[in-house]
Amino acid sequence: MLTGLACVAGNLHFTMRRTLIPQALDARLAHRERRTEKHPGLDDVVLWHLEGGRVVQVTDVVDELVPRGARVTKAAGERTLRVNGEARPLTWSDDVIGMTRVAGPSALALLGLAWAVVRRRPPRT
Amino acid sequence: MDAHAPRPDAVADRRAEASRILLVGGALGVAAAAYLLFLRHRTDYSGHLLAGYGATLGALGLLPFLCPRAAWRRLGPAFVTLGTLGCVAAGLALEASVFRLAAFDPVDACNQSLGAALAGLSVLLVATPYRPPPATVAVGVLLSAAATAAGFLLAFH
Repeated sequence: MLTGLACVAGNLHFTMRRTLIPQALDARLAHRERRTEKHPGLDDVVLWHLEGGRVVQVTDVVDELVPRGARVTKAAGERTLRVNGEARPLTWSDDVIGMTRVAGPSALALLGLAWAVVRRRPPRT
Repeated sequence: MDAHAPRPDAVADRRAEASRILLVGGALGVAAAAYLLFLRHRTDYSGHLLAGYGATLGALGLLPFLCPRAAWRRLGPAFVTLGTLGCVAAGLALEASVFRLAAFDPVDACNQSLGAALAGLSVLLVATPYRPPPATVAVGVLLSAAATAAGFLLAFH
């Protein structure tokens, strides 16, 4: 059950990071890389290679905000990305919204099964 | 009393087992339905969840037959727990190798591991200290095969 709950939390964590909202940034976008997955155009992995060596995965929507070579800055938790000083709004992605909605039912399924397992055990004498 | 009628406690046991299997189906149904509804733009997420569940269920279903009977009677839940963790690890290894098409995707890993966790709890709920009867085995095989097949279809279609 704990493994399952950690996975529910992990899904939220990793999808949120790809929106950049939780992250702090202050670097120039050196180049971007797009790698295709099982459904090209739908689940592509977009990687930003920042000056300094840091690599961050971002969503398509975020990727479209920034031209190559631009300087991107933001504070952790801020919902505005500054691209060469100009403010661009950041929003939660469809993945984040979806993961937030499935977290409850997933946790309910885990907890329901765990409760039934515990209830089924014979009492210790 | 009819000599051929099942013993009342056997009937009660079978009813209790059936209700546990229904609960297992219900739990998987709730999770899968939520994924298919709220993450319908990414069917691969649902696919990883179901594939993780089906493959783990199939692997864990072998345990009562692979373990020595005395060991299963005493340590069945421990074997199931360790087996589940082993399936999670195997899934992570596959995601990092065979299924690493673009990059290791931690979201895919979480989804399939969540499926594995649900399967582990399902087996803990249904399993007994004894080898399962044929009907239970049949349900398990069908559920495992269906979930795994649906998972692959959703992930790769």
